[in-house]
Amino acid sequence: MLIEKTRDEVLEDIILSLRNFKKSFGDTQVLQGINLDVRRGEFVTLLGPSGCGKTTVLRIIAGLLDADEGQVILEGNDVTEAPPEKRNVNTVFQSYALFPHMNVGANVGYALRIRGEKKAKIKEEVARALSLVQLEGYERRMPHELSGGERQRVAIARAVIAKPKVLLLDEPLGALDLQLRRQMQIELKRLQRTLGITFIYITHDQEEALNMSNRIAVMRGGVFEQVGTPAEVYDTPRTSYVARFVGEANIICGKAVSVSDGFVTLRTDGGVVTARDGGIKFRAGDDVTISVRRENIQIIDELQDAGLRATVKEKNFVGGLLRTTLELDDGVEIIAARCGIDSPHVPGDVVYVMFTPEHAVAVRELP
Amino acid sequence: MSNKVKSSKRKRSRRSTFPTLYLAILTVLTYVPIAVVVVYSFNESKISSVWSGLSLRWYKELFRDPDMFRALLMSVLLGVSSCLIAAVIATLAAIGLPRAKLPGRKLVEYLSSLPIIIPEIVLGMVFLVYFSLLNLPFGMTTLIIAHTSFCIPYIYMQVKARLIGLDESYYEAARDLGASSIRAFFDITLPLIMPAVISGMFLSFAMSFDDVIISVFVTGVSTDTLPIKVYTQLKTSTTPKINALCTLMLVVTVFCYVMSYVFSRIGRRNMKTQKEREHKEAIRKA
Amino acid sequence: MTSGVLKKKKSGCIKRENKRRAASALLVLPIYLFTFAFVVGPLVYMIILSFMTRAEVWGVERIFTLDNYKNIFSEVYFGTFRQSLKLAFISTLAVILLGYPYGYYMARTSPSWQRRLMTMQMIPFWVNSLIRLYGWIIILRANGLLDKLLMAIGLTDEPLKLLYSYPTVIVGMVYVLLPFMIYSVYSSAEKLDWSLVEASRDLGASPIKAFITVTFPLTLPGLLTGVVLTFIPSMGLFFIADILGGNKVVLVGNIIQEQLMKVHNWPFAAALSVVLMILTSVLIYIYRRVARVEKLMGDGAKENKDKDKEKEMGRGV
Repeated sequence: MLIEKTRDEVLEDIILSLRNFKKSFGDTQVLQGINLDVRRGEFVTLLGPSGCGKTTVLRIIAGLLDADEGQVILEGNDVTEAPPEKRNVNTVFQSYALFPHMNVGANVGYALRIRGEKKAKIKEEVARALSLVQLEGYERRMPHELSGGERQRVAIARAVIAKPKVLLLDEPLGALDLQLRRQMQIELKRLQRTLGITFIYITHDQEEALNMSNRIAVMRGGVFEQVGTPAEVYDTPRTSYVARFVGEANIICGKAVSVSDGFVTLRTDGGVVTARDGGIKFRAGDDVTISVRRENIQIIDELQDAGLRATVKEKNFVGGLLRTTLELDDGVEIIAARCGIDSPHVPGDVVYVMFTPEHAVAVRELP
Repeated sequence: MSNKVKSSKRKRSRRSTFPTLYLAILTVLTYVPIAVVVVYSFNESKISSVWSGLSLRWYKELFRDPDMFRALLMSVLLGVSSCLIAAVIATLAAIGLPRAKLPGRKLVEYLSSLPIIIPEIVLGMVFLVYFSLLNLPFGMTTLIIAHTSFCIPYIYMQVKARLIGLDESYYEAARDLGASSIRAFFDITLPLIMPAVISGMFLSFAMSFDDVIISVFVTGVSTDTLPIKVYTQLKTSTTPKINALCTLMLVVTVFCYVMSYVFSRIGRRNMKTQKEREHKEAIRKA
Repeated sequence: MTSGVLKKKKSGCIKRENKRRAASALLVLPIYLFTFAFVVGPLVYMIILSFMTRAEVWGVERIFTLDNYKNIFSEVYFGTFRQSLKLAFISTLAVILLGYPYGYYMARTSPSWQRRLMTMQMIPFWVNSLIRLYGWIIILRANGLLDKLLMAIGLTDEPLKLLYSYPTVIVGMVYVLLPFMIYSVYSSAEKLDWSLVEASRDLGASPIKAFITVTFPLTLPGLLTGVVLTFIPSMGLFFIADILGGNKVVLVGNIIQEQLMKVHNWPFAAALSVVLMILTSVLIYIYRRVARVEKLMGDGAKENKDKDKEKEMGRGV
């Protein structure tokens, strides 16, 4: 069935759109209304902690699971009821799922063999796919003879050989060690640009998401809390959860005292500060929650025009950053991070915490 | 002081000698009767307690005996057919039972395993009376049904264990890459569980090839199997021909068992190396 | 309109699901048919038969009676029943005494020796028990190997006539049933956490006390599995009594066989089988109770199950 494209879809070249997915297992509702439009060639990451439902979304797109409600539309075609083999979508499984009884060549060429391609063509395509992931000449090896990184590459080669419209990747780097993971991030990005295939990528690692994606969908409890570019998600989190999960921002609460053209000023137990309103309409007296990144926190000794009183709790160096843990008067813990030299403060000192209003943003507090 | 150390040492060594000795003696004793049968099958003499030189005489006689040959044929035919039928039923069931959300599937699983839980004599007896009730003529058919009943659980258990250990994502990956559910089953699931099926088949063939009690009850006039022949001969007179026969049966059984073991290992090997590797990597990461 | 589309969607999914289920139902059809036709059917018929009356000459008459069960307790048969129970009891005891230490010591050897011993016990286990019993006949018969050996070293002057006696039947029983006990004990002793034993020793228990308070209770399920696997079968293995005992030893199995094949009193044979089945069930019930107690004592089984459940939820199978 051909769904008529909306104007936006034509303009933005939407390749995949998810419309109002819902899914429950028994009594637990795992997905409650998932909507997402993915543009052709985009790298979209679903970011969230384990158990938030991101793998379920992927499995529904792949057709390995039926949604209770909602539609999957691929290139204008409703594929909601199509079995997995009828969707031009391939998956790189978290466990790689390389067929243990087939060698690398047979694994990679499987999709083409299913289509009934000629042997010579399959051989050629397999060689090309393997060279794409830098595993030339690995055809005869068995999966159990490969290292984790190699198996990962084979899984990718197998999934891209049939030139899917969309490639789904389920935490493909989860089983690799840190160094290999960094290297693979760069390679995956390169691969995506070379192939021009749309990637939907799942991870719980915010650094990975920020590094690789065109857009990030931050997921919690079966819903997307925010969908946006890495910069948007990082600089202007919409909810306190997004702020905390992406980049571990500081959260400060207070009551609005005045509102002016995109900014809101709030009073807390420790003092008065101003932040961007993040598109939320506040009135004086409303509860306000703001998010401030660690690196944007400044610690000063004397109170200037705005700032919050705090006590230094702890200081330590982590990965070249000086990390200072402070406690505000109302008991909220604040962490400030900055490069380089040591500060003169010692635990127990009473100081003031401040930040420029542009660096702080009001967020929604969802249950 | 040094005395004390010495005495405790002696005590420990004594403690470990007894178990070793015990294990050794009992293990040897287990093999003595078997060895006796095998050794005396090569005895020239007709009386089994007199040793009068090495000879293949009894094997020759065995092969010349058309009755024995027929019994061998019956045993093989029976074993092969019942383990083939059981393999089909049990494999389909192992795949289908967890998926088909039919009522009483746990119960059926339990009931189908009854033939190896209840005493053999009871099984033999119920088959005898039941087949008479159904008016089935006693012979190969009744033998095959009876043997299939106890072959099914052996194969079912092996295949089920294998399927549980099998990552579902193999099958899903095949579907994802464009295989229909039937194609994915034949390309992926079946080859991966095949070692377990074959292992179970060898095991159940060995069981069928060995069975006396149940066969005695359901056999027909002209379908005596080798074990039944051995049993009737042991009750009456024994010539070293029986030794030769026993030795041959022993070879077949041990062969089947070894094959069953080999195939169950093949099945596990790939998985295991993969799992071990993952484990090692996890350790390295930590 | 939207709700109409959604409804249609839902029914489509259900259709797909139903198709999948129908296909699976086809796969399990053979086992359902076979199990009901050739396992449940015969067993149900056995129970019905045990309440029927034996016909004068041949076959059975459909007249309800309890006589078959009463018959078991009649003087003639109850004596045999008692004898068979006694023999089963002695055999099982002997199997425990011989097999428990074997399984226990086996679990304490190095893993490579455990594998070797296991294989060595496995092989005779798969060898036809008739063949193995035949070996005993050669050894024990008058002027057999044992007699010759004993006379050669001058311990005895004449053949002992060991074959066809009560002790020989027990030897045969023990020999045939021993592997079952060894496996059962071994598999539960092998899982045993030996640090518990060391801990109890450390707390001042003597080796014997440590065994009684720690090792034995923890290997009890294995021992009981062994008993389930040996006790009832030892009442049914009629061929052992046949070929090693001559006509001197009669087991329940012998009566069943005789009643079936010679006397043709099928209802009585059925009643005897029912009694054997009941005894088996009782033993299995006791075993289950003990095994459950052990599980409650905590071996992480529950935890694993929860984990699996979680996995299942995540994959949404």
